[in-house]
Amino acid sequence: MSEGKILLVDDESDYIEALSERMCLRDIEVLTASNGLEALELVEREDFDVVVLDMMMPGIDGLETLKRMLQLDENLQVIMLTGHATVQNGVEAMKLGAKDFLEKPVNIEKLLEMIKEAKINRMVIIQKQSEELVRNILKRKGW
Amino acid sequence: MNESLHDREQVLKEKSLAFFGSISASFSHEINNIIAMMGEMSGLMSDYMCAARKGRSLDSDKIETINNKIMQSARRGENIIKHFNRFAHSADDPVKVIDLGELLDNLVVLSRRFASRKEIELETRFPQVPVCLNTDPFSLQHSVFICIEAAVSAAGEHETITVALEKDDSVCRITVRSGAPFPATDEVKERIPLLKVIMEYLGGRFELVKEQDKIREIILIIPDLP
Repeated sequence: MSEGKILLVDDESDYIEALSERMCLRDIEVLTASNGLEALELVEREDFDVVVLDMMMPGIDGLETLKRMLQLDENLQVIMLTGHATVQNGVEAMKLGAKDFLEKPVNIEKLLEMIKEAKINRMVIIQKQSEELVRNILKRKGW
Repeated sequence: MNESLHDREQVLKEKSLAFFGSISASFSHEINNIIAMMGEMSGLMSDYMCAARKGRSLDSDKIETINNKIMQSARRGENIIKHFNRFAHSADDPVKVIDLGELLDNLVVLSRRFASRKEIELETRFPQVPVCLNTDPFSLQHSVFICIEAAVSAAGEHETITVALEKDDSVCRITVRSGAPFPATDEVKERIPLLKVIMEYLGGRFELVKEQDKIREIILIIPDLP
């Protein structure tokens, strides 16, 4: 059984290829995108437990992609990857709604831990929303 | 020394440091990406080795492919370090005879990262023969970088910006030309005073070639210092 479905977004193709292969070896289903637009198309089409998104990309950058992704799915769990040794970018991303951020080069165990937490977080949010929905239906119908 | 000259020198000093910082930050980001890539490749190789120790067969072609990618990354890193090292040493002498084509080619390589964020291509058009000039190499690169930055900030995505070079008699003309004219945005305008200060310092001048209120080219005219 898959340990989750992840979208990896980075313009460094060899980097995401290697990272995605390492995740596949750990039974995680991985899809990849090399730019923001490609990633947005995938988010529109498919459900992901977590998105791992690089901050610096040509075209629309990581922050802009994050904003647009959250407009498509407000519950999306996004972990930002940054090559900049500054916390500022990561903090800005979290203010915009990212779940967490991690500096490149990443420690795969740390990333997997973050993915696991984000996946649980998404499940909890969805469960709460479902409960709320059921409560509202019950109230409306007066059962 | 009069006050305005002192002020200009102070501005030049501060902005030169900012320019050096911005190129260094971009360089370190690129190197960090390469290290990250090599780290993942090596991690992947370890994963396969680990699986092999647990009885899974080891695909030697796969290991060779990973190893080749590590080697490619090492070469990419080596190349970037070489360009950055040349740039860093360009600040060694205040004035010296330089091969302008070589200097600008190096700067364009280092500037490509900034341009690629907007998916803009940077091209060079230099004469076949070396163009030598006695000038301040660091400030000259700074002035060209300002022009590239200005053009990149205002040009549309997927545009091509060309850096061309020519020399007649004792002056050199460096042209930064955009495929399509770009507007004189605030980001462009705010760079003009600094460009003016640097060109005065180099004993040269600059021209903005316009087409219907938009900028097509920025031309730097730089003298060969005695």
